[in-house]
Amino acid sequence: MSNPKPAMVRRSGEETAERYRMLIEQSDDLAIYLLSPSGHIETWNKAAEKLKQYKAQEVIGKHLSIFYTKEDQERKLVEKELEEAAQTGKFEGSGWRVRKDGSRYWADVIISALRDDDGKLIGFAKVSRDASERKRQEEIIEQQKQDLIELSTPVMQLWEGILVLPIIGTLDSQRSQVVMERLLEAIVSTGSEVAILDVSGVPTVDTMVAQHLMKTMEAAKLMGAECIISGIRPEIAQTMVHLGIDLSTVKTRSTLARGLEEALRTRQLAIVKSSRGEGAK
Amino acid sequence: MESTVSQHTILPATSESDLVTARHLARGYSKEIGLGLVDETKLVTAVSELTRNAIVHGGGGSVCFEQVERDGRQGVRVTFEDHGPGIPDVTVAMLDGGSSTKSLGLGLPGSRRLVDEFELHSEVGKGTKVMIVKWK
Amino acid sequence: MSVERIPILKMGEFLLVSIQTELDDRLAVNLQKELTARVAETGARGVLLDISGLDIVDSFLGRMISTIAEMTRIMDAETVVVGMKPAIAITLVEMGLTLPGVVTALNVEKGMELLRARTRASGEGDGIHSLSTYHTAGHQ
Repeated sequence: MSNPKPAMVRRSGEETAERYRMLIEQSDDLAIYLLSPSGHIETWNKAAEKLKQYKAQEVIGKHLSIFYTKEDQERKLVEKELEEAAQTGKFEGSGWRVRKDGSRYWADVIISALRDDDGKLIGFAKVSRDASERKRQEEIIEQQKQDLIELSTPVMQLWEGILVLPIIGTLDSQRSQVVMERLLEAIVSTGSEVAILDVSGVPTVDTMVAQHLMKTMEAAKLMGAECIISGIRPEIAQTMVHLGIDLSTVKTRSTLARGLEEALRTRQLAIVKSSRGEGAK
Repeated sequence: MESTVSQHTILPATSESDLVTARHLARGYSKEIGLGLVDETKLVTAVSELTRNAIVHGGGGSVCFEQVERDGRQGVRVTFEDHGPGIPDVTVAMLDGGSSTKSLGLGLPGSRRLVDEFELHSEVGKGTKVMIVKWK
Repeated sequence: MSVERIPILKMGEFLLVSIQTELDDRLAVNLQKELTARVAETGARGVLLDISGLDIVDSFLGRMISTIAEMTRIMDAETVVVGMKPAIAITLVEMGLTLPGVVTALNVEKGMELLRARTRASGEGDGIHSLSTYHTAGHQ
């Protein structure tokens, strides 16, 4: 058999093996160890000791599942990961793992299947890294993103039976959905029959967002309320028409003030100038 | 990528009372993974739609609910299987209002829009299998 | 099998149907039959279909609602569907089931106002929230 192997500087097998061993030994933050085909631990490096708090003599021969949470053990997660690695050559994933003292950390994991020249499975190499900090950051960012969405979509009751939702900033699909749900909830809780969606603070509208707006209006209509869109800027008007969005059934007004005027009219109300300066009635 | 299953329930889909049970199960599984009310309603509606298809057009079958996880994300997977006549032209059936049976009109394309994943396999004379997933 | 029935109440010249239970297909079909019978029997001018107790409306039930509205309209009784929950509205829109031709209102009270306005402006179906009836309707 003449397998086309990549050209390499030939070294003695022993020398190469020794170099690899050192590389693995010295690795500081990558826990690297070998597993038997059944998932039992065969080697252990310093980083693994540091990460998982077990000494080599404590874990060699033990099954990989000792690092997994109880729930993951019950779900036979180790077996599933090893099976995937055996079938596809590699498993990559993240999950909670347990240290010796019982504390948890978020691990990034790669399991590679090791096969001999005949293709027989001889074990697995596992590389794992503490990604708790990254996970924490991700969670914070996600939370802040949620907070921001909540903050940036205030639904206000402008008058009895009239809601206003000024939308400011770029609408993405996720935010549009939040907008939609909050507005519809507010329609129910305030018993409002008219809602004005003011989009004068929205720089651009793409198809997705335009569709979300249309869906919001249709949903409001099913609930027995009506939506008015105000503040459509020229660029948005152009985009919407070019996108072929049918606005014929939609009430649109150029400004929020005009939108309000229309909303009041729907509710059989009007703002009139008082001759004696008593304000609007 | 493979997802892991943590619990499952299999329900026969033969009578109308199974349809009600299927809706309740869909609600229970949604609550289990903490789906929001809108997503929960979408899933329950899709389940109602597809269970009815299996009962009415498929001559009965089964519905399997699974709580699944992939990449740390929780989801509900529901598989509907029947041994009915099958769908001759799946592409047409998936078009809005494009189904041969009038009542199927929005069932398939409509429920596809309610979920995150939708797979349909159908063989004429053998039956239809639909798998849907809603992720948290 | 349940022998449950959806109660149909007569309120003046209108009928009020309040669905407070899970609506299975059979119940829905029965309701359709009974309601049209009651409309004929009472000569009701309008029907309020309160679905605030419903947690889901799939295409079958959605069509059922449209059919009820259409049937009663032919019988000269306008149906107003009231109290649809936001989650259901979003789901129906997502499915493409927007119940065209079905008149809606936020709740029973608003639905009642709407029906009064429409029957008063009778003949012409398009009675846009008639100005004169709004306040009187609120003080019942």
